[in-house]
Amino acid sequence: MKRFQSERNESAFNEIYSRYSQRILYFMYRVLNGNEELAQDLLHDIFERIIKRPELFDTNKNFKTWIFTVASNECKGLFRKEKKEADIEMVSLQEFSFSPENLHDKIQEKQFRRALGIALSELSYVHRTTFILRYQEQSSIKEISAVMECSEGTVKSRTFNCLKILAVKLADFNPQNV
Amino acid sequence: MKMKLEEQILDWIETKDFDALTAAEQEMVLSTMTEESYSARRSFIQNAAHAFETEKAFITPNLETQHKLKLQLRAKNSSGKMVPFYLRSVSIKFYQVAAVVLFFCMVWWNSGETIAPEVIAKEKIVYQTKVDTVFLETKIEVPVVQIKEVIKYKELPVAESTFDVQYTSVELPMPQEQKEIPNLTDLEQEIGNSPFSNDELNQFRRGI
Repeated sequence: MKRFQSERNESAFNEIYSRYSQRILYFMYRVLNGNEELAQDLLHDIFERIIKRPELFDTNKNFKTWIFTVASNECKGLFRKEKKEADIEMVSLQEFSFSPENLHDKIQEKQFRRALGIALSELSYVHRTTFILRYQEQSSIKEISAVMECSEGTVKSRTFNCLKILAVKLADFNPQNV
Repeated sequence: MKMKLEEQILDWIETKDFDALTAAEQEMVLSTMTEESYSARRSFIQNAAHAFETEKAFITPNLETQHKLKLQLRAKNSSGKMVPFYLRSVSIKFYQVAAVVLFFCMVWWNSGETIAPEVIAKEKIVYQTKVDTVFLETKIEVPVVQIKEVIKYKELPVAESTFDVQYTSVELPMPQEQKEIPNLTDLEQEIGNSPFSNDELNQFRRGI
């Protein structure tokens, strides 16, 4: 990013795009409850902002943290604006039939992903984002606290609570329970 | 205290199986949840991470998006070529721009050209007409030459002042009718219209 700020050449931009575009897209896709079209639009907006005003990024800070903060704020702004939740079908988790012997089958795995998406969409925005950053992006507690603009203790507490709720909701998918 | 314990258990869930915990750690975990719950949460984290990773492969950025962004970048770079390289990294703060604008406004204001220039222009025209009515007189001093008539008298001795006078006799033409020469006494009596007699008047005569 520093190179792009100083030179503004295409190769520097391509490097940034290839390194972060998919991660940002999938992060927003999950936070926006699976609305891929909206996530694609926001991805374009974020990188367009980088092109137009690269000076917005403080080179003394971590770029990953910065770009995820931007993405998170974009999603948050969208939620405030539209109050639009869940593009995915809001179906009850009980609709999924669980067959432990096929857990690792692709069909079962797909069902788990879908159930996970629904369970995440039922969480609040901050809890969902915290969980996604932690277990999807493998971000550290410190990074999440920077993105979410809260203390590390709050991040841990939110993560612990998310885990507690989701583990119960998706207990049927846990082979150990059978 | 409870918060600290939860944070500690979270770290263990993320990193260790229940069996890998020490006896003291297991005891701490069991004080808040069962072994099954611990294992279920740990298993869930692993499954969720795996699910995310699998799903991520299907969600890819549109190729069109990258193409559009590249075109925007090229357009921006081509438009920015006019700016010297040493100015590209210079950013001007809003307050600096505002201060400069304010400064120029103040300079313009103090220069006398106010917001209503037409009014001032009219006033100036009025003054100009007054100036036109003033008559300017120019005094030209011309040196005056005073002409004095100086009469000089020259005193000369009498002998020198004698003139040579020559007398010439001029014969007057004779009148065609000669008048009768009056008698002197008659003339004397005719002098004036005085009521006095000549005898009475004769006493005032001299040299007779």
